[in-house]
Amino acid sequence: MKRYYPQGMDPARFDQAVKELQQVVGEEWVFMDADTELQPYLDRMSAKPIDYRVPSIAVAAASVEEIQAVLTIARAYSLPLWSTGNGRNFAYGGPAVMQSGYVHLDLKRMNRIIEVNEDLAYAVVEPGVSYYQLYQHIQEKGYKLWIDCAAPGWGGLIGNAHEHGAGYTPYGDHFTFQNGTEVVLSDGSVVRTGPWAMNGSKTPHIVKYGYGPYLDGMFTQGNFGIITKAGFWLMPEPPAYKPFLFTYERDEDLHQIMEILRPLKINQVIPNSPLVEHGRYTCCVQANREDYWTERTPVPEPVWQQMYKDFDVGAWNVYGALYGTDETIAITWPMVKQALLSIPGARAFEQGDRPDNDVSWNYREKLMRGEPNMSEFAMVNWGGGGHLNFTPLTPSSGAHATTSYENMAKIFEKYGFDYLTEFVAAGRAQIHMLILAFDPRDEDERQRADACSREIILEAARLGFGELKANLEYMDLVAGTYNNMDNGLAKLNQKLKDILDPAGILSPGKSGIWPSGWPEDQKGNPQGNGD
Amino acid sequence: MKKLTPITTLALLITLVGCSSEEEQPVTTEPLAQDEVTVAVVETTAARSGEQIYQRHCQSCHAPGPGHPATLLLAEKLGPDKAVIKGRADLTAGYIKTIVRGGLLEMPPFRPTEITDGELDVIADYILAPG
Repeated sequence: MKRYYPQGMDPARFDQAVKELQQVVGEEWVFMDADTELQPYLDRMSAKPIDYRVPSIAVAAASVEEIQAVLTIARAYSLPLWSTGNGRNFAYGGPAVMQSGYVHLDLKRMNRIIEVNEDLAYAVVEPGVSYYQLYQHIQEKGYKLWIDCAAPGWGGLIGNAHEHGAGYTPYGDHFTFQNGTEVVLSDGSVVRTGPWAMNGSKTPHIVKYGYGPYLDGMFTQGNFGIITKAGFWLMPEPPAYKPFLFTYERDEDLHQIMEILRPLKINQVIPNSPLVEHGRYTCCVQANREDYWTERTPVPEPVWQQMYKDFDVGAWNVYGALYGTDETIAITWPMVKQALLSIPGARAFEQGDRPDNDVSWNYREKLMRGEPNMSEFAMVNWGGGGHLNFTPLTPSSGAHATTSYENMAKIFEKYGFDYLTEFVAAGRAQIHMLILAFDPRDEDERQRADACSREIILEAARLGFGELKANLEYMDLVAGTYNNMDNGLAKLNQKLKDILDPAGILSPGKSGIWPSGWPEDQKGNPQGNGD
Repeated sequence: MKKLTPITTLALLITLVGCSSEEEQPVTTEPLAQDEVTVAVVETTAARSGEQIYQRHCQSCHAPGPGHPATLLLAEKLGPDKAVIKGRADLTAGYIKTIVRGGLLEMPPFRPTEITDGELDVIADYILAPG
């Protein structure tokens, strides 16, 4: 694999910058060999070839002070830094940089759990802390607290929350339950937000806003600073927890399911966000595709129906949970059960009703009480390793869910992929999760996946359903769909970028935000320069 | 219904209502003194045992039984006898280290900031050990 350099940089000058970076973090924490050391910094799961986004080097900083020193060098040499914490976020680009030649700033070594406060129920962590790490720490200490994790438990609290990620307990909207951010700006200055800005503050992680503008959101999915610490509220372990599953026989039941769930969720009768999972999704996390269908064409409907029987699941499967005391659940469970069983053919399952080897029940039951696991990652097996996720946001209604479901189905069918999907019934809005699984080693599948992705994004935007996240390849495309008021939002982001990062060194291109002066012909040209 | 440990009424209210009303806000609780909280728990990566590395990074995908994606895939590709990597006699340390750094199929590579070069030998030895 050829070696890449930061955009427009003379190799000899870059080598001098590398020496200075080595002096900051130590030679052993600067990785340069593209054939060996940089392999873990590539994305093998997207629709582009593996060598499409190759960093020039990776630098692993271990402290705020080292980040500040790295920034001094980056400003002096105009090095574009692409920072990650746990470096997961697969389906959205994983650990890859936006353009070949960037310097990957790896923050995984910053893995301190700064504080866990059991009484006030929060934790403060660095970017390298994973869900597994915090969960294990809480278990070892015996704190009566739950975390809320993403489905693959190897993710990190800061990365997931600041990428607008979601989980499965009542604390599932991760950024809502984030409280207090420490950020290093591109000039090396350190900022703490909200009450954390006050010397001696007793409330840095238990009051979100404090005094003045609320700035934390500005550092989500952005490139205005490098987040080095953040606080997160943790859920006190409730006295009682009751997970449930309802199954439904027909695709068209989606409309009524979403109509029933809306008031139950908005009124907090169901405290977490129920997952309305299509049977195809439920089966693909526990079956080998080749056991059922050896062709690369989409699995035919009769074969899916056989899988539903084999795994005893429905066309739609609603996973949720109740939390509280035996007494409160005794009141709400009959309401939930009666409502969700009102659709003909519906079945209800409670703890103990499913077989011991039911993969979907087992991992979802764990997630809804904050126990991290990797079971859902099996869906990556389905297509052969490649997967791209999409998240159109729709209003919570049966009509909108059905429109999104049917329109996206046509796109998946057009490009010849299995339609793996679920809805997160988040309250007033629904997240329509779409999983595009494909074989990244197959050029034809990659090209079809890429075209399919672009059509999904544009069709969702046409319907008024904006994306919640985007893969690196589609960040500009998605940003371009948020374009009213003469691109007012993009222009504001541009102003902020130019003020806060005048050197344009922090994650150029993240979420479609590029530094002013970045060559237009290099946007969307991730190959950079190299030898 | 699963029974869990009782907690305070205040904490339960926070859980149930998502801090939506003023009298149930957690800020009404007296803040603790700084020395009463857990501070600075550092997870070092230098001295981890093979078992610790395996438990943190490997077993959630590679443990035996349903719900483990790598075990599911290896059963399909290589057969049930080779589905679980722990203790497999046909693997070598060199092969394991190459896969950890380079990935294979659905398994992504692990960076040196997650598993250090020194730990590669430790984890390979642990996986190769019988049992």
